[in-house]
Amino acid sequence: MAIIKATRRTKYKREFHSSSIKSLPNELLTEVLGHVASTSFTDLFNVKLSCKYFIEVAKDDYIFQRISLDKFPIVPLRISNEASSFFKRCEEFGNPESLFRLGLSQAAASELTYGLNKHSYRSHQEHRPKASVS
Amino acid sequence: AIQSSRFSCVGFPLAYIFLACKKKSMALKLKSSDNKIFEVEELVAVQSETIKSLVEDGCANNVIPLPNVDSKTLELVLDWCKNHVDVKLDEEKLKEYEDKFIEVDLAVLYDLLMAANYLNIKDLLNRASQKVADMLKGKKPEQIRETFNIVNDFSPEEEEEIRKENLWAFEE
Repeated sequence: MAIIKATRRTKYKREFHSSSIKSLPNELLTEVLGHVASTSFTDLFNVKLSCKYFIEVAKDDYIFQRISLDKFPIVPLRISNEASSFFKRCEEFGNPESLFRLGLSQAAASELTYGLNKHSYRSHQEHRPKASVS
Repeated sequence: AIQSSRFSCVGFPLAYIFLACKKKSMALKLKSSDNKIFEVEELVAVQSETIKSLVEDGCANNVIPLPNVDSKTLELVLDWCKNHVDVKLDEEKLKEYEDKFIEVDLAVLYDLLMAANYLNIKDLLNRASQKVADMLKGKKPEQIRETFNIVNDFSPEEEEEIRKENLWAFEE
C-alpha cells in the first residue's frame, strides 16, 4: 500500500508539474466557486473550510450574486445580524433568488392590502339593504 | 488599352475581396507555446473570441502565436471547437461528447481552464469550471483537501471561529 502511494506521488509530481488548484488565477477560481455556490450554500461552506485561500476567493461579489438560497426559509422566524447582512449583500449584487424573494414579499404585501380592501368592500356591500335585489 | 488596364486595377482587388469573403473557411495557422503549428479552419478557430478579434483586425494572415497554450492542450481545445462548429448537431450526442471530453486528470483540467480563459471560449470555460465544481461538491473539507492535495492551513481555533461565524446558517 505504501509503495503504491509512493509511486502515485511521483507520478503526480511528474504529470501535474507544480500546478494545484491554488495556482489557478483568482478569476478562474471565482468562476469555479460560483458554480459550487449556485447549487448549495453548504457545499460552498465546506470548500471555504478546506483552506484559507478559498475563504478569500469566496468573498467576491460574484459569489454573492450566484449563491443558492435554497436552504433558507423564505420567511425566516427570526433573523440574526449575520444573516441579514448576508441577505443584504445577495440583494445588492443582484442575486436572482434574493430579488425573486424581495419581489414575492412585496407582492404578498400588496396582495394583502388588496385582499383587505376587497374584504372591506364586500362587507360594505353585504351590509347594504337587499332592496335593490329584485 | 489604358481604360481596360485601369479597370483591371480596380477590378482585381474587388474580385480578390469577393473571393476572400466567399471562401469563408480559410485555414489559420496557430502556434503553441512549444512551437507546434496547427492548421485549422477559420470557422473552427474563431470560436475563440481571442482569435476571432485577431482575424477581424486582419492580424491572422501569418502564424498566430499562442504563447500561453501548449500543444497537448491546444489539440484538446481544437477538438472541442471542431465539435462545436455546428451547434445544430444532435444535442444528446454533443452532451455525450462533452461529458467524455471533460473526463480528464485534474492537471489537464487546469490547463483546459487556463486555455479556455486565455482563448476566451465561453462554453469550454463553463464546462471545465463546472467539472471542477462538481468535484468539490458534496464533500467534507477533509475530503476536498485530499482530492485537491490542499494542506490544511487552519489552526483548530481558526476553524472554530469560522464555524461560529456561520452558525446562523446552520441552526434550525
